Amino acid sequence: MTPASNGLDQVRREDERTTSTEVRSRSAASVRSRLTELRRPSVWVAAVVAVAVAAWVLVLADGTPAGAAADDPGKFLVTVLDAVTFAGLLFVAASGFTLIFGLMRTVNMAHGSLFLLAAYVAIRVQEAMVGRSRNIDPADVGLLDWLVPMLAGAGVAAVLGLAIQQVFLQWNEGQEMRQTLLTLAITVVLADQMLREFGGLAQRMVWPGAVTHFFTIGGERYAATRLFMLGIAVLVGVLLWLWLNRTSVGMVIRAGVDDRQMVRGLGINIKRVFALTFLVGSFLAGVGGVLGASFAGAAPGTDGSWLLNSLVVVIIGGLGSLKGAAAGSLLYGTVVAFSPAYLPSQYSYYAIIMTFGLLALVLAVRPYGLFGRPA
Amino acid sequence: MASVVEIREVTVAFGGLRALRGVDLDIAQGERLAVIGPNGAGKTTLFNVIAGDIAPTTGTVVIRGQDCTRRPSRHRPRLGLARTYQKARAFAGLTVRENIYLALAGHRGRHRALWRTPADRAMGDEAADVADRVWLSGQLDELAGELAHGQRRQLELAMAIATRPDVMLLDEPASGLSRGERERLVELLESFDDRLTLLLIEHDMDVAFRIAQRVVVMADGEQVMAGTPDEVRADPHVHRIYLGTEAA
Repeated sequence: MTPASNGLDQVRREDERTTSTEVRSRSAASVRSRLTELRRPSVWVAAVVAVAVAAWVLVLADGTPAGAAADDPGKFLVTVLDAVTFAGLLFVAASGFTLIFGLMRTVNMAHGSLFLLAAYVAIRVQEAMVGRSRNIDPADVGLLDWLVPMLAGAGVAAVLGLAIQQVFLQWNEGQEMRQTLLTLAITVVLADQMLREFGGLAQRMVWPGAVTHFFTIGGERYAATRLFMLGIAVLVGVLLWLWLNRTSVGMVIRAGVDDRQMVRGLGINIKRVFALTFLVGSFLAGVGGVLGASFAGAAPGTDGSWLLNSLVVVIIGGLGSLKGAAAGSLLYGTVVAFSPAYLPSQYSYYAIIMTFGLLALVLAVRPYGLFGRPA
Repeated sequence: MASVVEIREVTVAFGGLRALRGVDLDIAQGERLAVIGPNGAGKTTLFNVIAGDIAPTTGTVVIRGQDCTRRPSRHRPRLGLARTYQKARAFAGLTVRENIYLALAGHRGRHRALWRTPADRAMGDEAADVADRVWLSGQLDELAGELAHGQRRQLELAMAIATRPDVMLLDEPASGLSRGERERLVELLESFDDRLTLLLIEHDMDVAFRIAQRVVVMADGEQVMAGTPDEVRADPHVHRIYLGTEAA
C-alpha cells in the first residue's frame, strides 16, 4: 500500500468516526427534542383531556344516552364500531384530497362537488340497472347493481377531475391561491348545475341486498352495511398504500411531495404525474361519494359538508400524508360517534362543538397536524 | 476537441437585476472545469441555465449539438446531463436505495411502471452498487431525511452518477463537508472516467484547483477570466475580487 493511500485510509477511518459520532449526536438531539416537546404545556393539556375523557366514558358517564361503558359495554362496543366505520368513509373521502395536496400543493375546493356528482351519477345508473327509480328494495339490488354504479360514478368524477386539472390548474402551477379560487368557482358552478339536473330532494343509493341485514353484538343490533363500508375503505387504503409504496409511479409521487423540481431534473415528466394524481384523487372522491350516498344519502349541500369533513380530517392528520388521513379519520370519527352518545343528555345538542375542540387540541400540540410537515 | 456544452451570449434578467450578462462558455468533452467567484457572481444561475431550470432571457444553450435554450430540465438527462444542487436535495421521504433507484428509473423511462419486472429488480441491485461507490452501502434502507449532511451530499452524487452521465454539473459539492469527507469527494471525482465532462462550482479553492484543468472566474454576472488553476491563482485581478487586495 502506498503512503498516500495509507494516509487516505487514515482520513477515512477518522471520518467514519466523525460520521458515527455525528449520527449518535443527531439521534441524541432527536431524543432531546422529543423530550422537550413532551414538556410543552399543550401536550400536557392534551394528555389530561385524553385521560379525563377516557375516565368519563368508562365510569362516569351516567345520565348520558349511552351510559358509562362499565355499566353498558354493549352500547360502548356499538359506539366504537360507529366510530371506526364512519372513519372508513372519512378516510376514503379525504385520502384523494390529501393525495392531491401532497403532490401539487393545491387545496382542491371542488373535492366535495366531485363527491356529490359521483353519488348522483351512481344513483342514476343503479336506478337504470334495477329498472326502478324509487322505493328500491335492497333485495332487488345485486352486488353488481352497486359495484357497477360505484365505478361509473367514481369514473365520471375522475374524468371531470382530470379535465379540471388539465383545463384550469396546470397553467397555474405553483400559484396556490389562484388554484384554490378557481376550484372554489368550479364548486359554485357545479352545485348549480347539479341542482338543475338532479333536483333538490335527497336521494339514496341502495346497498346490495347481500349485505343489508343486522347482526347482534354485545346484545345490540348492528347493520352489516356499515362493516361493508369499512371493508371497502380498508381495501381502498391497502390498494393506495401498495400503489404509493410498491410501484415506481408511487415512488415518483412520494418524491414529488418532497421536491418537484428535483423530480423534473431526473428526466421525469411531472405534469403527467400531476394529471395521474388528480385522476386518482378525484376517483377516490367519487368512491367516497357513492359510499356516502349509500350511507346517508345525497342532496344539495352534501358537497360542502364533505369538503369540510375532508378538510377537518387532513388538518388533523397533516396535509399530504396518507398515514395522517387514516389517523385523522379515526380521531374525527371517534369524536363524531362518541360526542352524542356520551355527552349528558341535555348537552347532546353541543356534540358538533367537540369536533372543533379536537381540531384546536391537535393543532396546539402539532401545528402541522399529526403527520404533516411544513410545505 | 468538440464542445459538449456551448453557451453563447447568455443573459438572465430577474426584473431589473441582471444575474448573467452575455456569458460565452465552451466546455470540451472530458474537460474538468471549475467556476469560481464571490457570492452573487451568477455561478448558480449559469448552472440553472445549463440544467434547464431557468430559461435565459437572451442567448443560446447548445448541449451535444442540440439547441436546448427553451427545452425544460426534464429533457437534459436524455442528453446525458446530470446535476447536483447547492443545497443537497435528495428526496427526504425516500430511502437511499429508492432515491438512487428513482434516478435510474427516470433516466430509463421506467418510472411509469405499475409493477416491477426483473429489469426493475436489477435496477435495485444497481442502486446498491452505486451506493457502495459513494460509501453509502450501510445506509441503503435509511430515509434520506435522516442522513447526516455529508451523507446527503454523497447520496446526491450517487443519484447523478447512477445515470452514467456524459456531463455532470456539481454545485458546491464540498460545502458543509468535513475534512475527511472532502478528501473522499476529491478521491471520488478523480476516479471518474476521463470521458466524463465535469463542471463544478466550488468555494473550496483546494478542492476546485485539485479537480479542475481549467478555471473560469465570474463576478457580477460576467466572466472575468479563464485559465489553468496556476494562472488563476497568480492573477492579481482574482485576488482583488476575492480579497479586495492585490497578490503579494
